[in-house]
Amino acid sequence: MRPTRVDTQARHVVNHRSQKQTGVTLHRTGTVTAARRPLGKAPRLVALAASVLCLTVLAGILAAHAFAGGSDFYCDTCTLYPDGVPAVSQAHHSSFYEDTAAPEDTGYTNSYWMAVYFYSANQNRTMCYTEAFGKYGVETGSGCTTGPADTDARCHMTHQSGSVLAFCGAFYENQ
Amino acid sequence: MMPKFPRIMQRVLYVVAAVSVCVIAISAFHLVTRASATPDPLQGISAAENAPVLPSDAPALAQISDPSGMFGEIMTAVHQMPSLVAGHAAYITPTTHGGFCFTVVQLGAACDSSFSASSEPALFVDSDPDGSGPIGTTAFGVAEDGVDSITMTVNGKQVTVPVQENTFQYIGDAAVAPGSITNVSANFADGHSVPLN
Repeated sequence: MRPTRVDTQARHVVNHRSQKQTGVTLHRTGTVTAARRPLGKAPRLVALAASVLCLTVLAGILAAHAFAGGSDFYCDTCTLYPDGVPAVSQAHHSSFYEDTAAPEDTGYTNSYWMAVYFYSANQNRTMCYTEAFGKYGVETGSGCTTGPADTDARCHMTHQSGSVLAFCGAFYENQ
Repeated sequence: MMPKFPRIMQRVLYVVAAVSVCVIAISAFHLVTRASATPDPLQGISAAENAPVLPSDAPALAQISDPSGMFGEIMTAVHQMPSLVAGHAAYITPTTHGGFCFTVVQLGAACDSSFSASSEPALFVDSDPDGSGPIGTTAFGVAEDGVDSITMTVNGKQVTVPVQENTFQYIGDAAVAPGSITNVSANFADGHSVPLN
């Protein structure tokens, strides 16, 4: 049953009274007097340590949130051709740090020329590029970064005819 | 005194026990035969087979592991190659696919099946860390025992580089653009060549 307005007000009054009564009781027992005394050295240190710990944890959480990265699997069993038309990520980042491509050839019987790179449309240039001839795939190195440029991640087949079903994904840090 | 177990339950228990023993025996047999049938992923790469394995807390592991996990690198068995490749540390890692990944720090990585299970005797990679910028393309890779050089076409000119301790490298100048290295082949000591295409 919903309480009436009168009921609610009455409850507030009761609460207020009980707080008041509690305060009186505390004062009589001397607890308030003790709290008014200046803090000793030890409690201050404890308070300081607790504050520092709290701020450190907060900073850690914020940092982890700020630097947590993401991934963009921009080609999931897409077909790649060697004619210069790559698969392109939807996302643009200036913090891509790895691009990976692998043929979807579960038998691993054929080798493919595959390339991965970051491309800046604004600057009309490739920021870094890695290609390989192998069965399982290729990934960019740790020296392959986007610099300050806003780039997309790309993958394609190179130096051979035909096509290949592939899986490509890129990783970035949050900015 | 223990209550007498119903005869039907005893029979069920016997059957369950017999089936369990049978399943365990078949699994063990399967594991043993599979282990003996799986070739060593590093077979044919003597320099890697003899190379030290990185300890599990080696800082280099952070630069080798692939966040996508697509290649299944077995990070407890990372072999550091005896010599630098284009001035960078190089590592070979067996994979759960039965092959290996070859990583040159800074430049990149690629993965292949074991050479014993492949018709191609080399894994070839080329990398340009600044893309269209002034730094040229570096080609590198790992070749099977018996391959003594790699030949490639760079801007229309044929270039041959030696294979030493199963690795090779070619450092191009600024004119060597991304993707401009073509017609790669592996040359064996006996004179025959195998094209990578």
